[in-house]
Amino acid sequence: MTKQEFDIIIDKANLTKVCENNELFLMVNNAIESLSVLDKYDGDTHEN
Amino acid sequence: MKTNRISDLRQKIMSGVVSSEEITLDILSKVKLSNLNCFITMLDAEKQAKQIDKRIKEGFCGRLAGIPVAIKDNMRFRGSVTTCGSAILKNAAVDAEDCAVVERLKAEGAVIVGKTNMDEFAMGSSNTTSAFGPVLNPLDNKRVPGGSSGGSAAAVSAGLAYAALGSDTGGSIRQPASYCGVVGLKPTLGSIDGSGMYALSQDMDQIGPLTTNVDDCKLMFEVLSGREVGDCDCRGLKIGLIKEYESWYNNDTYRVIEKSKDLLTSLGCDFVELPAPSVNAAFATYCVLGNVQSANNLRNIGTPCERDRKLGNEVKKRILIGEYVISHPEIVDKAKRVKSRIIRELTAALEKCDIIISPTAPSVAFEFTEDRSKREIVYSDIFTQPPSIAGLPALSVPCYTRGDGLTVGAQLVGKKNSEGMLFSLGRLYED
Repeated sequence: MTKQEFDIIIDKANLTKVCENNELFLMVNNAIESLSVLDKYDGDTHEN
Repeated sequence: MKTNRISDLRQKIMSGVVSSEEITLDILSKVKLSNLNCFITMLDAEKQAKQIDKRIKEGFCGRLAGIPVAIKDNMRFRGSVTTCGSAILKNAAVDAEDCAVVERLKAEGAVIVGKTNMDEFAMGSSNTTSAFGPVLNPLDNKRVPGGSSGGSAAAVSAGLAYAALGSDTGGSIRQPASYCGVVGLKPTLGSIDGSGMYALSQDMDQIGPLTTNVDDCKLMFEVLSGREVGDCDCRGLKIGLIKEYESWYNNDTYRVIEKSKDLLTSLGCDFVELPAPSVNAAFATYCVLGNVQSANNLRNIGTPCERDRKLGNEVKKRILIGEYVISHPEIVDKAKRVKSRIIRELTAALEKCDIIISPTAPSVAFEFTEDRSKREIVYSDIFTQPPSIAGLPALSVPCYTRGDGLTVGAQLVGKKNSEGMLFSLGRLYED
């Protein structure tokens, strides 16, 4: 996720730039990166 | 833990040995002396108790007549503010109506002493995200009580209520029950009416009871669900152990498996190892599907400035993850397919066994000062999320107590509407 994407979701979430702090960005970004585990279990045809 | 069963206490109240008012005043004095921070709001319990005592004299005989209980502060109680542990709702209007479960408790004569502390909007597993301060674990005040229903679990464990209601979306009843040494049930999805409760993720949210013993848990479940559950003969049951959980076992949590084997093989139960690879993706699945609904549910609470000032970082984080995946529908679709797979694999496992047993949590309660990036803290709901995703009933019963008094629960998971079997099996851990 880029900082630009982060700005967009901040708007969508009815928050303001005030909360755009680096700690929060890192927390959200780490969580989103961890979602890649879903690829491994998506569908029966994948090797697990 | 020395327990005072609700049925015994009710009998004493009904026969006039003791009044509800006396019992309630005793509870209130304990709450006053407690440093655990279990409650956000105290209710008019003394007045309720006097009214129940009067009704009992007139012939009322509800199943919870005069029994002091607590509810989590995401459930509406007429005349009180429901804060959900958040500063943004601290000064909200008082509730005009009771939620459905409060109506049921009142109909059976319960005295509702107060509304318990919780992680903000039920987002957390340690009760440290509450705007009203953390709850301390009664077993060790340096440790968290678990969450998000940490106030309810700690209150029951400390004797500040005979039972308490929690809500569980990914483990929020069972994990604090395990940490605080009490019994906690996440019933079958949809078996208890959740209307009037603030939703976190309505596809997984489920209200359930926390108690000191299994019989009280059964009684509370019957009151809340309006369904009587029968007992089950536990001899010869087939017990499933999920193979993928093994990598999470440590010295403490493996004792749950050992004790379960000792206890149940003597009753002729067989243990069978079963595969369910997709449970490894339960955390991510929960993160996507839960946060989509959380973002939608919380989008219109407060102005942007208020949200900036009054929402905690954990809530903001989850809302932002929700908004991100909403704008990437391919991720949501992927999570839905993995959810289906988790359900298929757990359903297949439960066709080969009667009950799946695991530790409830991957560790004992952790210290407030502990590094939160530790694997067993980040993934403290690793065993509780899969049954939540599949809508299955799951009971946590105290199973192993360490020398320092800290506990790990055994989680018993059954097919939908198999609560009777869970209670029967759970009782065996108390003997």
